[in-house]
Amino acid sequence: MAREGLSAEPVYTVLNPLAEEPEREITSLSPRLHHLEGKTINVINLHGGNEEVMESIAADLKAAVPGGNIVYYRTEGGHNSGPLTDRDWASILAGDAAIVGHAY
Amino acid sequence: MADGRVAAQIEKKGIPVALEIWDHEDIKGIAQKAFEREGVPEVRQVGTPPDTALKTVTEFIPRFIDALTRPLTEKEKKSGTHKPPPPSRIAMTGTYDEVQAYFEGDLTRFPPGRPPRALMTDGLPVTPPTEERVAHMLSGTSHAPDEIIKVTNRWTGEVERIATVEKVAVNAVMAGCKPGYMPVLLAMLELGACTGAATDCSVGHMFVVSGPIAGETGMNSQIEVLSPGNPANMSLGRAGALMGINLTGSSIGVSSIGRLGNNIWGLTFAESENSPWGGLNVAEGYTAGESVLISFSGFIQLMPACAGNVKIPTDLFEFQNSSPEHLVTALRTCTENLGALVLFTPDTARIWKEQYGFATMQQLQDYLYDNVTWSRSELAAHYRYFALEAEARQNPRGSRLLNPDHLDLPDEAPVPFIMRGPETIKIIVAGGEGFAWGWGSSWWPVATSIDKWR
Repeated sequence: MAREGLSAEPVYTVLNPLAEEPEREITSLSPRLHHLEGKTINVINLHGGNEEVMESIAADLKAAVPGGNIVYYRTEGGHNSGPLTDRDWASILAGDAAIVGHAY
Repeated sequence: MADGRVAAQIEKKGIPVALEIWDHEDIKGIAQKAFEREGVPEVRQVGTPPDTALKTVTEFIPRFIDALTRPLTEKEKKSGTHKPPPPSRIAMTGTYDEVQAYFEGDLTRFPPGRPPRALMTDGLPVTPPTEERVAHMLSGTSHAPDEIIKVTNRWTGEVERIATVEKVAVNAVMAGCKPGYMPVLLAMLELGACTGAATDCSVGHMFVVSGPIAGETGMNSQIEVLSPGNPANMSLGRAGALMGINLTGSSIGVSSIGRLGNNIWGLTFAESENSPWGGLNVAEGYTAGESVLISFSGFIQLMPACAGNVKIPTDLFEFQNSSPEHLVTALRTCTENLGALVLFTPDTARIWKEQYGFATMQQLQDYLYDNVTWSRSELAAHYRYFALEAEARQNPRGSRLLNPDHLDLPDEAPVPFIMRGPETIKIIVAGGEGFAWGWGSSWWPVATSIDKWR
């Protein structure tokens, strides 16, 4: 409550309005690949708004990594469409790495 | 942000990910929250120009390759339990101005050209939450100050923060509330308060109080019900906003980044006691004697209007009272179809019951659901048809909800516009004597008992 400080102006001790953050388990990132040659890379379109960018990434990646298996994949679930479906997960987990977007 | 969550989920399943993301601080901030919710401190991202006209990102391909092949840093390899230190109970000691500056935060932390945002307030000065004021506020509820309230995300159902009854009282003091408002505020936090949403869509929040506590606390349900001036309505709404900022883990402009924002952010008012259809408390499954809070959120739009704003009235009666045809026309203007709002003054509601024959609220909901439609071809032309179609396919054939039968209809055939059923069209009766009505939309509302927080 207000108390007299050195000046005539009152001083207040105030309580903190912030809530506590819950405890969380954190997980490390997956190990990276040494190279992409011979690997299956899923370019995953979650229907975030700009489909053409994801299509172009797949095409450009194929050109940059000719020995890679670049798979352009449009999910059934994802952005605003609920969680990924079992079929989505099966396709994603069949790959060695993933590029996800477009995050617009 | 669904994309950030999916990226983190894929990482957790052992697949290295590069997330293509708009190179924009706000978007990245939302993504970061999404990673943290999944328990992944950070996903590797490749920022691309924030431009909806963008067609290619060829020059960024080396960065995608790098994100998938560069060895992990020690920080990226870290795993285990993360327990952030709890905030200290006492925030600080200082003069009035120093208290305000503390809650506002260091506004110079924002880069030049970026409008600053207050850290723990809505941008306005707050009442200093001293021990004595908070203790007085706590006298408005029988619940213990240290009772824990797990604050869940309205959209994901996940626990975002651990609050207490005392934390609600602290925010209530800051907002200028009175002790009698505490049960409403605790119910408000139970429903997520003004948490925003992890999206760049301009969502908002609105609360309606139904039942005896509205009168007990002096809330306004009458003339100028949506306007400033009533201490209970105003401070309750402000407390909803402050709790959203301080108790939900949300951060306006960081984790909730509506491109326009929403002018309905905590709007709180009371339902009229003179509804000819009974109260929303009864409609939500409670008794007429119970006090209930109904929370509206998502794309909230609310247009206070009269009939002439929508469709030219043909006579004075129609001008004053509107007609079912006017209301259907009005609701068709809404840009969101996950729910609808209708606001009637008590007199207008009475006329609609007596003259137009809507004996119950449910009859009016059914009428609107059946008549607020769009054509099959309009549905098919929607830019998010893939999502609307997916939802329709989840509903059983022959049901009233948008379902696979509707998708097979000819182009000109009407199909339901309000996606989630008649009960998501909420009829609110409030306002002064005379005739007026308004309309709008919100995502599916939720309700809870206020009385259990007394």
